[in-house]
Amino acid sequence: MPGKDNKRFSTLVEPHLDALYRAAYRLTRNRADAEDLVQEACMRAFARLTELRDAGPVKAWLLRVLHNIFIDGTRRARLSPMEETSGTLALAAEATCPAPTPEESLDSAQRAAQLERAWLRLDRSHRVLLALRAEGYTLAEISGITNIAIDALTMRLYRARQSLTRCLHEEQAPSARLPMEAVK
Amino acid sequence: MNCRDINHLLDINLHNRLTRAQSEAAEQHLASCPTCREEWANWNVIAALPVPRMSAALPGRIALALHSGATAQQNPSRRPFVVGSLVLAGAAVAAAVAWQIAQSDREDTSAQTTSSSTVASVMGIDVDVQQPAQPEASPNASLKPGAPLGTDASDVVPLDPRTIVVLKRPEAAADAQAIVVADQCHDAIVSQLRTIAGVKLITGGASRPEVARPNLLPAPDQDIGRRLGAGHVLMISTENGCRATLYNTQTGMLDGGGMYGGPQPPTDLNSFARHMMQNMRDGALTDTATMIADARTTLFDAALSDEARLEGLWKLMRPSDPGAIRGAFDKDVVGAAVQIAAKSANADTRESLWAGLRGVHDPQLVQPLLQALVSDPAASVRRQAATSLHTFLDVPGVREALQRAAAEDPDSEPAMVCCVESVREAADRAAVADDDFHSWVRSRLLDADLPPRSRLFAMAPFTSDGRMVHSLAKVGEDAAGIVFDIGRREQNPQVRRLAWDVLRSAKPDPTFVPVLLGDLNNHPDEYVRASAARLLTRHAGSAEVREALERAADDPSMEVRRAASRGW
Repeated sequence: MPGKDNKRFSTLVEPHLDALYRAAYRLTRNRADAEDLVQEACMRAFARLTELRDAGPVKAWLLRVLHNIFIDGTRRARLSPMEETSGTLALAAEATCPAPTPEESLDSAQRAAQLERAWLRLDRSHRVLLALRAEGYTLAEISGITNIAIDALTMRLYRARQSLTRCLHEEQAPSARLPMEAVK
Repeated sequence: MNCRDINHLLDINLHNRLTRAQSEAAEQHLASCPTCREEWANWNVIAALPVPRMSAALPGRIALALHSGATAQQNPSRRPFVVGSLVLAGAAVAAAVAWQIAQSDREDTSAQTTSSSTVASVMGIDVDVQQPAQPEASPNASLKPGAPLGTDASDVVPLDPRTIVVLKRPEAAADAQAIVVADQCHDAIVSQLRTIAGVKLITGGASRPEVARPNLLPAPDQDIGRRLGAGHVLMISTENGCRATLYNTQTGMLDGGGMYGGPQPPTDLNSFARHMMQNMRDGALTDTATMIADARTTLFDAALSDEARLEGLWKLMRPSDPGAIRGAFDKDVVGAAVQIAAKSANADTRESLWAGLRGVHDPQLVQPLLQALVSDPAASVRRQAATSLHTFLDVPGVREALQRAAAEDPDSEPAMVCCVESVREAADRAAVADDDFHSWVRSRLLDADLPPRSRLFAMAPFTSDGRMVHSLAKVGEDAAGIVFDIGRREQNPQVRRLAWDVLRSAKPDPTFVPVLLGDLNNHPDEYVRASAARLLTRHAGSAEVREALERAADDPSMEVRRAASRGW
């Protein structure tokens, strides 16, 4: 590896590692997977270092690389078994409620746990849009990252939220609940 | 306003950019629409989930991986490796030997008995790129063992994505317990993979231990995959209990994987293995043709709702592989989409369809798109129709229709937010040929008779036609100066903000700094301050700029504080 490239890459990328990691964690809800995703994005980005000159802002470019890996190739984000994901929420999900009525059945912790499982069932293309949104990126920024035009983006965000709720309903229906290893 | 319009507003409102009237409209809708209310409530819970800090070791780990990855790429022929039951090279640890020998016979037998399509292990093939050897004949002709080992890479057979070489990789520091766990993991995963029809496994091999965990397939192992015609290499290591990593042989990149956490022998390893298998089956091992077939099944299913069928169309839009997927838009797919558009009363659906078909050059689209451009009651649909018609500029009458829409469409005013074009603007852009696009952008920028917003909008990287201008350099060296000048003079905060946003695609110019500092320190619009802050983070080498950004940490606006601390 030419040392100059290495140094340049580090200088460019290091300030954005946290942002990359946060986005990756949103996608995977799992620190180990998120860090692996970031690492792979960096590896791939390094291989394309020459593209960077024309690619615009570094952070957007890196997020674009990460987005493409997540959407297209790497299934890492949906591969780890659930026992590795957010222990707090998993525990919350196991908490028992005294004979809840249907209306009361979702206290906030349970709901969060169900939603997290629904989140992991969500189509990756939807998940990535909502994750970037949750991280506070604007529509224009997400458009730049995902290469989806703004009009289509707002529509897809709308559909993504619809899908999330659909997944939650499936999660809440006992007959429809899938074993965790089948989670996408 | 329908649900989608309101959702658009709510998305914008995440940045507090709505007028009071818009906010009230959104609130009223939410109060009366339980569906939207639930969807937003659910998403708000997700958005509020905490994100733990990344580990402090990550930067170092990445640096190490970069280094080792590059080394592996540079010296592919220097590192011995094995496929089969014997480990080459004295440095290979005893654990690796034990790991392999304990498994190889068992795998060979089970492979032949569990599935006729499974290839038995290539036992006894020792491969060292420094001392080329000939492979034994495969017990299954479909294995395509490839050219004699050690020959030029150009002799290697085509790779079959559904052939997987499974390699074990014990870490140098792995203890006996770790070997046992990884061994069980290997067995469980191989056993599961054998249940997938059509997948061929080559088992019994091992890779040499690596000091660092490479996220690139080590070059010697990549070479094994290539020579055996395997599209994938599955590496199972002792790391963290068991790490299974699927690599694409061609690219050497990760193509999936998972990790079984914990140092103890897992009790539910079979569940993990099944999970791995399902994801590999549905992901890396599903070829493009199968994915397209699934999408078509959905699209053509007349029993489904229009919305559901539309999902099939979206599946055909894989952003990072548009070339492969575009081929799937044959006349049947396009015909089905046009049919849905013709009968759908839902403007969102019609718009989605035209958006999904953008770039598809099928003549049967021209008339429906022209019809939509002229007569669809929804501006959003006409806008998308205009954008999608850009593909057909070579068809007689299309350019003229776009030019007419650019001059006559009733939707002439820019929408209330910066990112949505009017139908006239969209049609105007769509009528410009690709070869002329940058000069068109430049001419708009230079046209002092146009409103400043329109001048800048030509440059903005968020228009609906997908032709994004990421680099100001593409429209001329002086373009950044023009944008800066427009921003500096413009009092409308939206336009000024847009100017600073656009400048983020330009080379940093220190002459802009005083104006930007003035905006960051004094501008009444928080979003102008935030845009200035983002742009200024590119000048953080200046002490004055650094101080201003640090001061912005006390800005009353969260948007500004985030921009100053995060940049873009």
